[in-house]
Amino acid sequence: MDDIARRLGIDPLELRLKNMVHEGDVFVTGDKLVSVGISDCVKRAAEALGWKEKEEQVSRALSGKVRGKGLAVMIKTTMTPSNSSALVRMNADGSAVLLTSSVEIGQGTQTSLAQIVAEELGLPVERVSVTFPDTDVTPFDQSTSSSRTVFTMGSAARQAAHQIRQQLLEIGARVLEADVEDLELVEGFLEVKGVPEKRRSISQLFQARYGAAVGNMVGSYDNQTTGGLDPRTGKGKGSAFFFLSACAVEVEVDTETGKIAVQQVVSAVDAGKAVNPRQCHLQNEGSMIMSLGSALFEEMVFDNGQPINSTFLEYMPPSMEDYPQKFRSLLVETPHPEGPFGAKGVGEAGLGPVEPAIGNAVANALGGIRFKDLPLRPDRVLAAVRSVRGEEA
Amino acid sequence: MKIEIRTVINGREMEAAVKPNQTLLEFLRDDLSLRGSVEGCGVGVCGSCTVLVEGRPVSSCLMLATNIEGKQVTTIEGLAVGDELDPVQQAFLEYQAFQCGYCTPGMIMATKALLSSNPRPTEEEVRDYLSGNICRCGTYAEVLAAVKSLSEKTTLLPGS
Repeated sequence: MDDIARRLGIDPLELRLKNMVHEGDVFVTGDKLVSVGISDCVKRAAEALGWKEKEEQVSRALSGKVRGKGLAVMIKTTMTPSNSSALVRMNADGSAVLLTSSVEIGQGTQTSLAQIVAEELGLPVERVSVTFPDTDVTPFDQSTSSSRTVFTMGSAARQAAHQIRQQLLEIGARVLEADVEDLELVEGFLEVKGVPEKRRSISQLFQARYGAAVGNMVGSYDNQTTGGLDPRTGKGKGSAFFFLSACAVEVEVDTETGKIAVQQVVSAVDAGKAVNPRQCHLQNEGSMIMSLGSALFEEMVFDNGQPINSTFLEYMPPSMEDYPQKFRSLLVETPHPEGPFGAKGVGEAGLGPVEPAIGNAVANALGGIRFKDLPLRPDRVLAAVRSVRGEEA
Repeated sequence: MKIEIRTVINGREMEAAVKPNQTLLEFLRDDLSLRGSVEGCGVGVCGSCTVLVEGRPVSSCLMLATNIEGKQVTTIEGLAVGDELDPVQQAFLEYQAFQCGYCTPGMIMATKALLSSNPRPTEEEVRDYLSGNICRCGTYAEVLAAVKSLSEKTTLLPGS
């Protein structure tokens, strides 16, 4: 993309913005795209990096340390179709339990799902607990992967909670002699809108239904996302939702050693609605660090089929010393109509564009030198620089 | 064959019989059920098994249990006093300086060691010191912020 921009004499950011997909556009698969915050992502990433349009495309002499900037954008699918079931159990003390087979691995699934259920039931989030998966007990989930949990399981959890919400509202309408439309659930109470003194606790609603504050109200929902591509034509519904993200980086390349130092990296992802912004940032930051490793030095090396760098002595993921001086995660929110409260997945959203952005920045620094293989090891960089200079490798 | 050792683990004096080839990490986890220290790489480069021996950070996957004869060992389990977390643990919690948490015990023990030898490290010193603790979730920004908040506190940390 940057080579095209260079040939046309157009700023790479401008070229991307001119050709970007927009809300409602039909994608190559035939999908009608919704929740398309990609232009915002790339604009905000470029701005945060300090992108200066054509000025960034000036050719530099291949000597000493040279700097360059690069951008990349990404659109990616999630596993489609897929299946998630959720079951919510409301207790008479006003607490709720979400039974789910989504796996918490530090990405914040339990917190996000608890927030979604709490929001639907008007409960303080600490009143919602979320189970760990146990296939003997908890309902089916296709997988905790493909950044699908908040979108697919989150929707199932919200729908399950919604069934309980309806039950609570109907009991409340009877008890408070009000229309369901005039009622709301707030902080563990059912209130008449605008008349907060007319309210009942969840326990009182259980009492009204069962004669005592005991028992459960249960909601469950099987969420099947539909679609898939025709293997012959490549057409169909490509994805339940699309990930969209952009990355902007600045690198410094030492033309004497071939070493690349990433000075700045900014990643902007469209979260639809960030259910837990802090956690979304953590996931996005992890994507940046992980991609930085695979762009610059992580590599599995084989000798006659045998991996020869299978311990951390020879295979090093990025450490704190590789963490760039300027490092920013940005969230764009373009609500998705089918996601819970507009949310989409963000786990892998930042992963795609980091390597190409680094590649573009390196090409920019080195007057257009392109590398077709990752990682961008110093020996590869040095060999390319020397070859352009006409030196012996 | 087993070798008798006398040691102090998290302030508790004890005698134990260990195998000559048993690592300190195996002793802590398998014999004492102190499972906070975890093995990441097993070759002493990832930092997740870091414990303090005589106040100095050690990869417990590389040290033999017999080497702690007569020495004081502090593990992640030895930091909190009752329900009160150690300031480093508290800072990691406040700054959400972990995601999956696998590297966290080692990262916290390394931070303890850093701050007891250098209570006000510069960012560069923190990066250098903690570069031996790998976080695959990439939560370095938050770890740095947590350590920075600690280095700005004027009170000396317990144990320093």
